[in-house]
Amino acid sequence: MTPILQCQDLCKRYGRFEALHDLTLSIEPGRIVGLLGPNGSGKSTLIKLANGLLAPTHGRILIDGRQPGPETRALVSYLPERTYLNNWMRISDALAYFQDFYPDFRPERAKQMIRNLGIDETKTLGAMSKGTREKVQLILVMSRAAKLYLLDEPIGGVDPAARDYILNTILNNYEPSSTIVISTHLISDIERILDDVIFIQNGSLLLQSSVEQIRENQGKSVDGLFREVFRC
Amino acid sequence: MLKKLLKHEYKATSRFFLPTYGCFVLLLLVQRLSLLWASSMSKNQSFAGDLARIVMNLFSTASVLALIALLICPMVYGIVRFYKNLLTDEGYLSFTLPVTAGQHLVSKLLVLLTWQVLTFLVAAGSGVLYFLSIHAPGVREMFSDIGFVLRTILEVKGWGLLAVVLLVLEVFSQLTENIMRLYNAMSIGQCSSGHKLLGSVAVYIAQNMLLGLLLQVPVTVYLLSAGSDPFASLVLNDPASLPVKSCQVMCLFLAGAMAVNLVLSTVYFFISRHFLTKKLNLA
Repeated sequence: MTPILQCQDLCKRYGRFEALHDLTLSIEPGRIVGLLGPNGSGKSTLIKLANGLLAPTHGRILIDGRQPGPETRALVSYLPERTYLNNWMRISDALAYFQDFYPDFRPERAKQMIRNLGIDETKTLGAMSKGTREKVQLILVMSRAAKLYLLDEPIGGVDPAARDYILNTILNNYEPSSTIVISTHLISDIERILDDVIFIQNGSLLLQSSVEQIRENQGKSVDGLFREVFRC
Repeated sequence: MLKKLLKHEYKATSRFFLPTYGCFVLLLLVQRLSLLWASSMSKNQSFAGDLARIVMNLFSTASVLALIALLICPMVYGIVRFYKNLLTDEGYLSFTLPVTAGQHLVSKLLVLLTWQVLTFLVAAGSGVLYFLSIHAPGVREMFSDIGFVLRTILEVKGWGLLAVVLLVLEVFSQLTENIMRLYNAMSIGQCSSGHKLLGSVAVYIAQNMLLGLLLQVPVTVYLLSAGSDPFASLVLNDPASLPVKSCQVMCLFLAGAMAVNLVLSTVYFFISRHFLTKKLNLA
């Protein structure tokens, strides 16, 4: 089976600063993967490279065996760590936008989640709170039946109740055959949903393992191992 | 996908342009009312008469300023729209759509061209109707003169109509070149971390200087080789053929200008596409 995401000696440099250094890894389909590392470790850079938002300095990144481009963007559902929707849009505008560009978008599912949250659909996104806008964005992203979901810090900066909501939304709405890659440094909250973890530091791969293996071999939780590995 | 991009681009930009046109037309209507009021008070030398004349002058000034602003606003808005939609946070959505950077460029170009043409029509149409309605002196004569020139050109069999068609096409090609030059500057300028706008301005200035130099060379060479007055021979040798020769020269010039614009636009397109695909630098 073709890995859904592959990196081969991937390197990304910004001037003299090396954000990713000879990164080689492979993620199989159907897994929920935590991309874990401290701030500035290269997690967001890797995700942006996977989306084609950045070009590698050298090396390759492949999505379902193909280089990032319009074809792979149709397979990938991306949630960045910032709000990217236009403030003037209403919910109906955002839904129409996603429905137009993504054949795998499921509008009824999105509408149901929005109704469940009690969001006023007549308001513009600009009139909503930051937390509500982020939830709308998450709903739109998870309402796609994508092959790969790339979620960049989906629970950073939100309260614990909202974190639970976000994680439940992720779990309840992704396709079981799909892959989810969640980038975060808040391990304890997401550990319960992860199948695999990737530890990344200073742009290099430190560890790639299943959560089960870590618990069996190391006798500790992922959070415990993270604290040990990335101890200041 | 291009059709969908165009649909959403028109939707997003019409939110700005349609109310702008509405406000402009409303301002002209209010200005017209103020003119009527001032006319009715023309013999009134009291405070009310003075007030009417002041209000009329204020609205007349405002209308002229609004007209100037209206004519430049498509380009200004086009720059802001390109920057905001592609090079800020919205770019995270735009560049993760299953479309190419080339499609983004084409959609924004076509939409901005449309609004430029519509803005010109709104400004010109409103202006013409307004000046005709107030029987402004010289307006009818001006249109009569324009009509005379057009008829004279069109009377030249074949070449006249071609000249008019080429003129329209050349205007479109010039607008396209202007827009693509701006997009190119912003596409290159966005590579500069932390100074995207400054980078874009610097690239734009450099582009204009380079273009000026490149275009100046063939023009200078031609003028030097053509002698004192390249067009004098047209009049001296065969005055009867002047209309035809003039149209031919005009067609040649317009076709040449159009070709240059299209080549430049194409070059800008490919450079912009390269930078937005391979050198994208979203913060």
